[in-house]
Amino acid sequence: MGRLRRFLRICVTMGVIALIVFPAISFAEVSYDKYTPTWKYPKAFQPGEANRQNRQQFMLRILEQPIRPFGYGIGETAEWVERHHIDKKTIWFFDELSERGIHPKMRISQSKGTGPALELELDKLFKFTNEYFSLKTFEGAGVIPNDSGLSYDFGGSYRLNLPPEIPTYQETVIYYDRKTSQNFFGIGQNTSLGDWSTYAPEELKLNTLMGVKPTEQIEGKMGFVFQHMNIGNGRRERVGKIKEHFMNADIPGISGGDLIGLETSVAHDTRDHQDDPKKGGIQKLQFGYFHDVDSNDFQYLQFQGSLAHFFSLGSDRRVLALRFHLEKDQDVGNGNIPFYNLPRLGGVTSGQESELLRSYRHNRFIEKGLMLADLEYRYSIWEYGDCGADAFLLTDVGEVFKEFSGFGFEELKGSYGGGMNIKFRRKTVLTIVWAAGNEGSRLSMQTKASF
Amino acid sequence: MKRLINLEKKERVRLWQRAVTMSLIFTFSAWGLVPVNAVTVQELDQTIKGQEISFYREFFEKVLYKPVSQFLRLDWIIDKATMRKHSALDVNIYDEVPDSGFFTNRHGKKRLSKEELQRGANQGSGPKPEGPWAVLKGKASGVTPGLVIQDLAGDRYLLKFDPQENPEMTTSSEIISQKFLHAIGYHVAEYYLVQFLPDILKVNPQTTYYNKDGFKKPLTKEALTDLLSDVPKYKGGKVRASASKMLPKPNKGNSDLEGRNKKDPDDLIPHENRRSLRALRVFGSWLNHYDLREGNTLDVIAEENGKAYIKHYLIDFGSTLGSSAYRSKVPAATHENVVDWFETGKAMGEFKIVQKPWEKRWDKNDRLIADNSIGYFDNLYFNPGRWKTQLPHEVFERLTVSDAFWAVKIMIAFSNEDIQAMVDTAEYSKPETAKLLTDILIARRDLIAKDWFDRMTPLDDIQLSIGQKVTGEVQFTDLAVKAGFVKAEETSYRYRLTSGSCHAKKGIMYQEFKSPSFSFQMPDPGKKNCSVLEIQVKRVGQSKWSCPPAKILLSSPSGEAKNIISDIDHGL
Repeated sequence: MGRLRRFLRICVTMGVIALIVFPAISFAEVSYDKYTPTWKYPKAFQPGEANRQNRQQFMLRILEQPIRPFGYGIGETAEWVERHHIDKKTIWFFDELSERGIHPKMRISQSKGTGPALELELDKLFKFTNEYFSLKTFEGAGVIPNDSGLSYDFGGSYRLNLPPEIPTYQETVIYYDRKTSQNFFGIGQNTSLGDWSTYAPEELKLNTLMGVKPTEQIEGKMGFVFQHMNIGNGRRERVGKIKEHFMNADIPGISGGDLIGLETSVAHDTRDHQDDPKKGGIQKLQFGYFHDVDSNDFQYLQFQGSLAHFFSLGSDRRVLALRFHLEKDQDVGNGNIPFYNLPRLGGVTSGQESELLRSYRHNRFIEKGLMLADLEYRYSIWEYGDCGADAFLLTDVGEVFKEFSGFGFEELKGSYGGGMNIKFRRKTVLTIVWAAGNEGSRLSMQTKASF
Repeated sequence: MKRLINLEKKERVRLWQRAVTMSLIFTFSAWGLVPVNAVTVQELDQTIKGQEISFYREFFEKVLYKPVSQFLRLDWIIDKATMRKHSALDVNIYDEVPDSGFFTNRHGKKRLSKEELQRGANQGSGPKPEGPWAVLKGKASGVTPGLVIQDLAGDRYLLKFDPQENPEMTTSSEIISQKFLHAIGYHVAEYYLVQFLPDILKVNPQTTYYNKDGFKKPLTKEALTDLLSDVPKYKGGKVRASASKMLPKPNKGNSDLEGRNKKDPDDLIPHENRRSLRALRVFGSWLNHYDLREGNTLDVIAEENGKAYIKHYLIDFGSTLGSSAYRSKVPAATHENVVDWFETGKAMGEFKIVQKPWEKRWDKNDRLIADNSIGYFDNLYFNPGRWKTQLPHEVFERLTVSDAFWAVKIMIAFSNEDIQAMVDTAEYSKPETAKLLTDILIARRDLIAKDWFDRMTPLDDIQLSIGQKVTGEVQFTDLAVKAGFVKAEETSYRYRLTSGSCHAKKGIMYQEFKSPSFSFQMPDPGKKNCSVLEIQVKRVGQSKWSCPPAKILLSSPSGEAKNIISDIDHGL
C-alpha cells in the first residue's frame, strides 16, 4: 500500500514536472544570429565571380562601347566646367556685359537665319546714362538653310523721355537689313509651290515717332517712316530666282523703291507676363499711309488690327491662347503697293513680316488682305525651379485676299500640330513646332514663342 | 607485411585527409577573424585611385547619356523585356545585411538610447564657440557659403550656414539627418550645431575662397564680412552653422553608386546590387534626401583589427527635409527627377487633363511654404513608392520588396520619442517648428511603412522550433500589427509547405490560421529536397492574400537529422 502510494506520488510529481517542462522541451527553438555573415549568395563574394560578372557585363554592353568615349569626353568637360567654376564665370561675364549695356544673343529665325546677334546700349557702354535719354545699336548675322549667303542687319535707335509726370517719349530707329533669300511664290491666294523662287531684299529704314503711355497698359504711337529697298535675286539653291521666274509678271516693287509714310498705332496690353502670358490679352490697331519718293508710283493705306487673349482653364498651367489678326492694304489713286510690304501668311512667328500659318513655308501667301485666327492650348509639362516647358496644341486658320469681298471660307488655309516651349525664368529660350496642313508637315525651331 | 604496408598507406591517406580537412576548417573559421585580403592602409592608399564626381558630370551621365546609351545595353534591354528584378547580393540567409564598409547595423539591431541617438556619430563636443577659429579656406564646391576652419584643438570642420530667407533650415537639416542616418547604420561624419560671434574667425593672408562669380580670391576680413552678410544673425549678432568634422585622411573621393571599385579587394558586389545602398531610396523618402548621389559620398581608408578597408561615408545633408541647401525645395522636387523624361512625356500625352501630384500639393498649400525654418516639407500627396531623388540612379530603381522591407523594418524601430529626441538636436528657436517637423517625420514614417507593407508579407523574427517526432513550429512577428497599423484580430495568415520539386506547387493546399505561429509536418530531413514554407497574410477588407509571400527555405545541414532555416526571402 505504501509502495503504491509512493508510486502514485512519484507519478503525480513526474506528471506535474512533465506538464511544466514538456511545453518547453517539446519544441526546441533553433536559435540563430540574424546578422551572421552567412551570405545568401556566397558566390558573389568570390573575386573570380566578380571579375566574370564584369567581363559578362562588358560583352553585353559591347554595342555601347563606341559611344562611351564621347560620353566620357563630355562628362570630363562637364566636370572641368564645374571644377573651374566656368558656369559661374560665364554668368558673371554675361552679367558684366549686360551691366555695360552689351547684350549678345543667339537668334534662330526663319527670315533672318540662325546666328549671333548683339544689342548695345551705348549710353550704358559709354557711361552717359541719363533717365531722359537712351541710345542703342543692334546687329545680327545669320545663315538660312540651303542658302550660300550670310544675312545680316544692323541699326540704332535713340529714345528721349520726358519727365515721368508727362508719359511721352520720342524715339527714332534706323536700320539696315540684308537678307540673302526670302521666299516668294507670287501674289494671290492660289499661288503654286511650283513657283517657289527667292529674292534678296536689302532694306534701309528710318522710323521716327512720338509715343505716349498714359498707363502701364495703354500705349499710343505716331510717326514718320522712310524706307529704301533694293531687291535682288535670292541665293537659295535649287529654287527659282524672282527676277528670272517672274520676269514676265507685273510684280510691283520687284526693282525696289523708296517710300515715305505716316504711321499711327494704339495698343492695350493686359497680359500678366510679356513672354509667358497666362491671362489677360493684347489688342493693337495700326494705321498707315505710304507714298513713294521716286518714280515707282507707290501710294497706299495700310491697316492692321490684332487681338490676342489668354485664358487660364482652371489653373495657370492650362492656358487657352486665342489670336485674331487682320491686315488690309488699300491702294490710293491707282497707286501700287510694293510686294515686299504686302501682308504675308506662312511661317512660325507672329508680328515679324509673315504671319502665322505654321505648316506653310515662310511668306507662302502674299496679297492685299489677310485674315488669320490662331488657337493654342498650352499646358505645363515640366517645371523645376527656374526651368520649365509647356507643350501646346495648335491650329491656325487663315487666308489672304485682294478685297474683303474676295474672302471665302472655302479658301481658308489651315494648320494643325503641336510643339513645345522651353523656358528659363518664364522666358522662352527654344520653341519646337511641328505643324501639318495641305502642303505637308513642317518641323521648325526658334528662340521665341509663336505669339 | 604487405597488409601492414597497405594499412599504413590507408592510414597515411586518412591522415592527409584529416590534415586537409583541418586546414580547411581552420582557414574558414579564421575567415571571420583574420582578413582574407589583409592589406595595410598604405597599400590600399597606393592601390586605389581616388575620384571626385561633380554634379554636372552626374547630371550629364544620368540625365542625358544613360537614357540614350541604355538602349545599347543588352543586359538592360533583357531586364526590361523580361521585367527581371535583381536580388540584393550583400544579404545573409536571414535576409539581413551584415555589417560592412557600407553599413553597420545600429538602431534596427539593438535600440539605441536617447543619448546615443542624440549623439549620433559625434565623438566629441565640436569646435569651442569661444574660438578662435582659423579660417583655412572657403568651400569650393556646392551652392551654400561654407568655410573650412581649424579650432584650437587642431580639428578641422566645414561650416555651413542658412540662407537669409530660411533661418535654421539648412543647418537643422544637416544636424537632424546626420543623426537619423547614423542611427540607421550609415557611416557619417561628426556634425555639430554651433552658434558663434563672427569675430572669432581669424583669417590669414594665404586663405582663399571662391567668390559667387567663381573666382579665387584672398579671403580678407572684408570678404569674410561680405560672405557672412547674407547669413541670418541671431541674439547678440551670433551666427548659426553646422560644423561637420573633416573625415580623416587618406580618403579616396567619391564612391560610385553603380559598378564596383575593382582595386578594392572588399568591393566584390556591384553597388547597384547592394541592399544597403538601394534602401537609401526608402530612407531618403523619409528624410526627403533628394540629393543622394555619388558626389555626396566619400570613401575613407579605415583600419580595424589590423585590416585596412574602405569605409563608405554619406556626406552633405543640406538638401534633406524641406531644404535644398540654399533655398526651400522647389515644388516638383522629390516628385520628379530634375529632368524627368518619363514624367514629362507622360504629362505631354495627358494634355493636363489631370494635374500632377506635386502641382495639386503646391496649389493646396496656396503656393506658400508653411514654415521657412523647415522649408517645403509635408506629407501632402506623398507617395513613398514614387518618391524620387534629384538625379535618377540605377541603384534606387533596383529596390526590391525585400530591400524595402529591410529598410522599413529599421525605420519603424524609431519610436515617436526617438524621432522627437533627434529633431530636438537642431535646437529650433521656435518649439512649434520642432513639433511640426517631428509630426511630419512620424506621419511620414508610418506612411512609408504602410505603403510598403501593403506590397509584401511583412513578417519578421521568424523562428523555427522543432518538436518531437516530425512536428515543427514557426513563430513570427507581423510588423504591421506590431507597429499598430492593423489589429491582430483583423489579420489572417496562411501557409503551405512545398517539398520535393520546386516547380510542382500546384494543388498544394494552404492552411489558414489566426495567431502568428503555426505547426506543420516537417519534411524528411534525410531527403535532399527543396522544402519551402510560404506564408501570406490577409487583413480585413482585403480581397487578396499578400504577395509576394514570405518564404522560408528549410534544409538539414549534412550529418544532422533536423531541418533548420537556411533562407528567408520576402520577394522581389
